Amino acid sequence: MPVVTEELQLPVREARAGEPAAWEALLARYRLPLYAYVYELVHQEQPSLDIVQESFINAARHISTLQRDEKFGSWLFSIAHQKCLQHWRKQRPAEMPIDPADEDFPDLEPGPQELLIRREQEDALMKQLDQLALPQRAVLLLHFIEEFSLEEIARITETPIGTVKSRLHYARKALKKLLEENEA
Amino acid sequence: MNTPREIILARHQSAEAKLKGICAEDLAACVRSAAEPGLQRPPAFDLAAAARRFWQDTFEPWRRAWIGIGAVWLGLLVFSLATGETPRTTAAKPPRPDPEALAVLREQRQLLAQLLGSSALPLVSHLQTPGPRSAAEPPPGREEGAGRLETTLRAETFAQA
Repeated sequence: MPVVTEELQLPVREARAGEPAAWEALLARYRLPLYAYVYELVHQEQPSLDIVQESFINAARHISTLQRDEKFGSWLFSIAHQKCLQHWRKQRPAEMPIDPADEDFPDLEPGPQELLIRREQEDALMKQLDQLALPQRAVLLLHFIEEFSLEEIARITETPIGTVKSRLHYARKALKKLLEENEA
Repeated sequence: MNTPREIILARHQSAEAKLKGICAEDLAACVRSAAEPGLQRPPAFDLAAAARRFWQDTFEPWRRAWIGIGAVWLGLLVFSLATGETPRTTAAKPPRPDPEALAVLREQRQLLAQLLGSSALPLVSHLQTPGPRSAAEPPPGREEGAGRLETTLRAETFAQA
């Protein structure tokens, strides 16, 4: 999987100064990945569009509080993640998913990612992703879409790093199992 | 071959046109308006949020430690109440003299006074301390120079012998 390295060239400093061109560049870089992430959690088009827009507006309002420019991506995703949770609470508070495995886990195993690439089961991947519990799906999406580190995912989802490890492990394991079942 | 990232993004490519509705100009204007101090509202103090944050920052991360400390403190309190001990904050007073010993001492003093023939023991303070010898007066019948004459006579006697 190619590593996402565009953050180094992102004009965050210029965006902080209120330059429209800089914001255009940030929008071009993040609007689609952010929308994909939000949509996969919310599963509704209009609310997802609204959440993306609100996230960018919030980011613009509070960009002065961002301490490290290279963290703009994870910071933006954390804003969107919070908005997704708010949306979930409003929509279906009783159905707020509970993670079945919120415990520390020692290490990540080599997962089904490479397997997926080989098989090119695009539809299957998305279908299986949808079957995962929300916390696991969120962690896996952040890992897939932006290749955020465990620390960054922990910050975005506001969970301890051990929990992120555990969720990622179980998500990959569950995905692998589902794909194997699908194949059989 | 597609990566999961490409697969996921390709699935949402159709939303790109709608996402372009988010205007960069508006975002830049947001930044500028937020930077103007006159337009910024002072943040309202929310007691509930502050309390929640305090709880989350102070107690949540070390919940077990706080519970442990609380349990130990409670145990000590229960033990203290059960044994009826009070903290010794006041300084220890000197022990009172035994009245029997005092009576014996008084008797002994009276006996001593009777033996010496006076009602009270003589005080040491009335004794005079001797001054320097040069200041002392010579005894009566002895004049100045008598010592020297006596020494001379003794020397002559010794020479004759």
